[in-house]
Amino acid sequence: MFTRFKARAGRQAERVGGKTARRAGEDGVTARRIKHAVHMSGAELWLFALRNAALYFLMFNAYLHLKDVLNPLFLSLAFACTALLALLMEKLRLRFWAALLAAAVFPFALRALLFPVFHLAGTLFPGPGAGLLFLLFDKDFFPFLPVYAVVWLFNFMALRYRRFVPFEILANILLLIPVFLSETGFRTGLYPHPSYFALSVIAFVLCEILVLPVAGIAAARAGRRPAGETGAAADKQAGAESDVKSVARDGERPPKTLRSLLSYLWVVIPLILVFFLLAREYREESGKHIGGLLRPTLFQLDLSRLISLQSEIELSDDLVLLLRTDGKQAKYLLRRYILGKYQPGKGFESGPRGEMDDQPSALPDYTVNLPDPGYRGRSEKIQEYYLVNFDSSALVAMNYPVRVVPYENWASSSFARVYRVSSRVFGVPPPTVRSGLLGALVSMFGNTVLEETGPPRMDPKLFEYYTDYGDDQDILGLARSITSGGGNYGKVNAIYRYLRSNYYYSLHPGVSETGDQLHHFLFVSKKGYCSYFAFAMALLCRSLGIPARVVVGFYVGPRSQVPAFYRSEELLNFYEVRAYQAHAWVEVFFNRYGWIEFDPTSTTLAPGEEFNIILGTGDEPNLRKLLREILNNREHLKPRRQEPRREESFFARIRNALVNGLSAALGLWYILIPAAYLAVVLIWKSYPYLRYVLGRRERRRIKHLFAWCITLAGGTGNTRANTESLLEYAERLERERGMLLTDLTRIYLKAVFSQEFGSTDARDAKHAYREFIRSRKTGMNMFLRLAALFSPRGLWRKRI
Amino acid sequence: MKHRTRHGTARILVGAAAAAVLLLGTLLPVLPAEENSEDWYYEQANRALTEENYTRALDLLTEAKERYPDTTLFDVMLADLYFNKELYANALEEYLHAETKQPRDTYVLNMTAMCYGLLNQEDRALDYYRKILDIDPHNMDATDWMGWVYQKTYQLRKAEELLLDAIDLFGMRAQLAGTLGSVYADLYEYDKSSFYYHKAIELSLEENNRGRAAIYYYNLSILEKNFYKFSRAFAACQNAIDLGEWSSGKRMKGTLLQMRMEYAAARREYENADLYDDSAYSKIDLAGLDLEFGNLKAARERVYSILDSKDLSWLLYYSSNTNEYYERLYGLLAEIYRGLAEEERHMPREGLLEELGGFVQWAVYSLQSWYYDQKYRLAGIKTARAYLEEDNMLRAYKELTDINADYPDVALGYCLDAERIETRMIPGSAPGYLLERGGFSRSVPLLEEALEGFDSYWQKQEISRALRKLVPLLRQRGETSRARAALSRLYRLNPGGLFRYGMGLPLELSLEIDDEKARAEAGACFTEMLRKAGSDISAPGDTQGFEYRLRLHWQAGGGLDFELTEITTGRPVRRGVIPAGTGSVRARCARFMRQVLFDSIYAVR
Repeated sequence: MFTRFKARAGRQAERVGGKTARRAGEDGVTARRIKHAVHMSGAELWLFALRNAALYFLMFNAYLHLKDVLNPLFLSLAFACTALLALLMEKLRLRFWAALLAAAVFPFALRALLFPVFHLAGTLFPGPGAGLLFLLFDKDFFPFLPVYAVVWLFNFMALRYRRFVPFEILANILLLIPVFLSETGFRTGLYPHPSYFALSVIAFVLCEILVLPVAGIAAARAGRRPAGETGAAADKQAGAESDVKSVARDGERPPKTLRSLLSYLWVVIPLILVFFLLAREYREESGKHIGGLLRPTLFQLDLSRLISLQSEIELSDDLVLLLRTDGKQAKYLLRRYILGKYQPGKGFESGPRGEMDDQPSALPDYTVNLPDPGYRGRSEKIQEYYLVNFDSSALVAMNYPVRVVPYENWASSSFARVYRVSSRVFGVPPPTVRSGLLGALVSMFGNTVLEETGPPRMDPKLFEYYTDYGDDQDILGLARSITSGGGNYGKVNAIYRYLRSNYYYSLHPGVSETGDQLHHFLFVSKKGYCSYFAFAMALLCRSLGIPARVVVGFYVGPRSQVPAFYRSEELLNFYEVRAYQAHAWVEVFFNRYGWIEFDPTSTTLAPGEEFNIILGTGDEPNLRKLLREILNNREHLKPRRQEPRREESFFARIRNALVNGLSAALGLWYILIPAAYLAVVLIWKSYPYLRYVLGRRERRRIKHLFAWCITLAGGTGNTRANTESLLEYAERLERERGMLLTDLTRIYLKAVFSQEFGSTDARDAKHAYREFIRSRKTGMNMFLRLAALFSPRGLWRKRI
Repeated sequence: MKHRTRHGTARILVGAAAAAVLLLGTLLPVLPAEENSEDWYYEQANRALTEENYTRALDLLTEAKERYPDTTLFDVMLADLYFNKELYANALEEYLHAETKQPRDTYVLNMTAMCYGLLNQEDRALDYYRKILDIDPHNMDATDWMGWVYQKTYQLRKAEELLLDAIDLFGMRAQLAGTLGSVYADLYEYDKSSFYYHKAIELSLEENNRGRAAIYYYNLSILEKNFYKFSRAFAACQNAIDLGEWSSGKRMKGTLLQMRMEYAAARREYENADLYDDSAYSKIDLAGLDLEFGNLKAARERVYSILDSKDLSWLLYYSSNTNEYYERLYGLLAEIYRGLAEEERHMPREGLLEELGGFVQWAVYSLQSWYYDQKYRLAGIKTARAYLEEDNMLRAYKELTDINADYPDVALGYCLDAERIETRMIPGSAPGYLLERGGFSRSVPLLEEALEGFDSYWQKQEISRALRKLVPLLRQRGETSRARAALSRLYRLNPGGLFRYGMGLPLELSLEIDDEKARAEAGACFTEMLRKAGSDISAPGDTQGFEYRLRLHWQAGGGLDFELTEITTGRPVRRGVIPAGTGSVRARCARFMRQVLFDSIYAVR
């Protein structure tokens, strides 16, 4: 394909440039060629730079894989030299195969030349280090060879065959796949954070988008250059013939670079939207990859307010936060969200206020005392939280938090937030499933303290809210079959034991054939992860009229204690909390004791499954660093002070409300900006049509109708040249694009200039308009018509 | 390379300090101190430490520090707590804080230096030892440690001067003599080094400090080995082992056994050493052993597991540094992947698809080998530069020779420089240099001379290396018969050391194929696959130099029995039976061959 095209271009180059070359004489040929080699138009330079910027991005990222071995300076210099070499070869008009051969030989010839130089350097400047030049050169030389091949080939092809440019873009996108293959699985290793990665990719895509219009402009410029100027330029003219048909015609107004470029920028808007959709997908998928409960924001992780049941999850060991707490306890359940609202088919989510009164979801800005409900059996427990990779505004605390003290973070801290919480923690641990005599004794006397008679004393609305189980009769039936009489605690305990004993823990619960994952878990597969167990227990309790809710947060066991990974000694009561510790459990309401945690998740792995998390591997240095930082700064921690409250005036309140509303709206900027753009363009462009519809005077109405047609026609780039009359323009549209606008143009001209304009003319105009619309539909597909409508092209032009 | 070790004086020091603090705590007046007074904090912190309630202790000490900012005691207690918990950077900060209040407290300065040493910041450690000696020129521990750190950083003459002065000042002491022995070992002064090591051993045994004596015996064995006195090295390391369950003696014994190519015995010693070893060296030795004997994947796993551990504070007690440590590991990985790539290239394959998979795998291994090789060389450049800075030219030239191995002209230059220096001091090193030079200049006579020069009992590892370099040169010269003999000798030394270099055992092949379906194709398949695996196969008219016969008997039932025998003696070397398989004749041949070669002929267990 390219060879054939080149042959044509080559012949034309010979025809056009031949005379010049002969006139210059044999001796002057080389000199002229080199002179021409230096010459490039602005657009060509831009095209060259943009294309190479995109290519450099790819190659640099490929280099990042070996950053501890390779020298980026070598890459950068060698890249620039390679691109210039390709440019020189093209400008010298070397035949393709000759250029390819020369390019293949070049690096090795250069190496062969350099080695004697290194030897010479060793002789001139003797010393033990002189021999290292070979080694250091080759270290970067050989890895650069594949880069060299790509950079040279792409540059040479793009410079010689303008039609190669779109193929180069495609090839670059294909190259993107192997370069970023390591970044799959919703993780980034080459960049410190996904946001940098995203920004780089956006920059790359923008470069690639800009390449196309710049290529068009460069082609147009090449087309306008006098034919006899250079052989190369003439060749370009031939090569670009088809690309510049619409703009390079004699007498036509040349496109203005900036305008043309800007008019392509509208493509960026859907791209940004797509990016945000992808970002959302990324968040959800990486949430799935880190245990199904966590969702990463653009910068940090947080737990999800809505938990649904997935058919499969994976676990990650990313460090989320460090916890420090005094005393010893078998396990800690750190609460993030309380999910009380049940939606059948969707899952549990945090609902309206009410259930959130127990624990605010956001960390206060200063010390806050929360109401102590005064339930029995609770004692104070102090916790310190050092958030690493977690939403800094999030409050994580044990049940019930009564005092939250946010601290001033120290300068250049590795932690997103530091705070201390005092909680009233229930002292009697939930029952454990044991077999044999001991199990029987525990079941008889273990937690009988929780046993109470009488219905839950709770606000009726809240009671209804916390006992909603979607009227699922299967669940009710199962709950009844599990429990047999007794008080609420007896029933709760029976459900708890039933789930722990009869179900398996699994990261691959499987897909339900009916689409009801919970039923699949309860009645078919009998295996799932924590959310399944929590959902099941909450709904089973609710079905029996016992208020229950799902809670998400983190499970912290003794194995999380920091030194346990590398030493047997206890060290300073720090616990690391990693992404795989995200957990869901259940809280059940008891009149005297409040909401009590039950963790029904089975500890028995489903047959044939393995738990692939290797605790704390490879992260020890980081952990030590963080601990060191805490220990260095802990003594200087100061509680954040409360700002004195000021009485706000009426206007201040309005202003604050406006500011708050605006900032909330700005949070959705990625929707608002494109929407605003679309609205403005649509209103601006359809304004003449509205005037036509609403207008009374026929002449005026026809003028607006014609302006509307011109807007529609010009949206895809069929704009009128300055030298064209309206009629010539309409005829050209009909000739080239099949849009029947000539009749309407004549009627419009009549409406403007003629003394006679009657209702027949108005009728004819409407008929002509319908013809125009029909012809436009026939000639353009729906996408193009929409593109014409929303393209900014022609926005700043006078319509008629 | 072996690294001399040193006793853990710092740990003893801190242990003693902690014990003293605890003792003091228990002897304090019975009357309770006033709450929040200095004494109260001291008592409470001590109690918390005794009860191992470290959080409480930390809180109390932190609080006490704030309340009594002029008191050094709490800084030091806190620092000691961190030090004991191996949080050296934290400990260092607290000691530095204490130093601002009491800049002439030698305990604080000593611990600061120790922390710097453990954090592998030797230059800072040296600064602190200088400070201590300015304040207290009679501080023997500081002098000894300073000498050790000088030695670690290749400042050997300074170390020598310091330690000789110290011996003049304090008289002959075990630790001073031991450190001086190491310094002289690095200076290639055998007599002096041996004298001081023996002195150190003698004094340690007089003090009944068997652990320290074992360490000096180990260091002595390294010296003997480096001076090619292998029997004496073996005796010294045996003495070290006899003194107690220490890792270093066993490691050295393993190394010497590995030099004798005694795989099982060497492995046993390394594994025993690993049980007592705080450092990663036993594991590195095991990885090296696996690599030498062709267990490449096991070696790879071991190296990666070593790389996973980032705590290198133990390096303080060894005459090595982080750069050398990583250089060693990267070098091992480069070798391992090179071997794996060779294996992939010569593996018998069942068909085109497997060939393709093998090619991809080969490419991946080759890239990985290249990558680690670059890392190894970069680390090597750093090491060489460090040696050059301290004018340790011999070490520098040796390092430069190794890292330039791909540039024979360059490497040869460095090799000649190193040879000129070392052979003057250690004549026993000459064959090693002949081997290197022979390899770089592709000279058969030099390699043969080297082979003659090596000790045939202790230097089998070197003999293997020489043979590996000799074989391709002999083949190139058309001396196939001699090449076959060399390969057979190599096989006898190390059956696992052929295939990872793309070499195979020359074989006289004897085929008996009862299976009628396979008869037509199998013979050609086996021959082709063995040739691909690097083996010379005898042919009519070309039977010279073959020392082994491989008999393959494809039974009618589809199974294969095989036997490798020595031709001259008829002694069977390996034999076995492989059950019948399914698939095409070629596929079965490939599977048979893989099992014959890798599970039997080239396997070392």
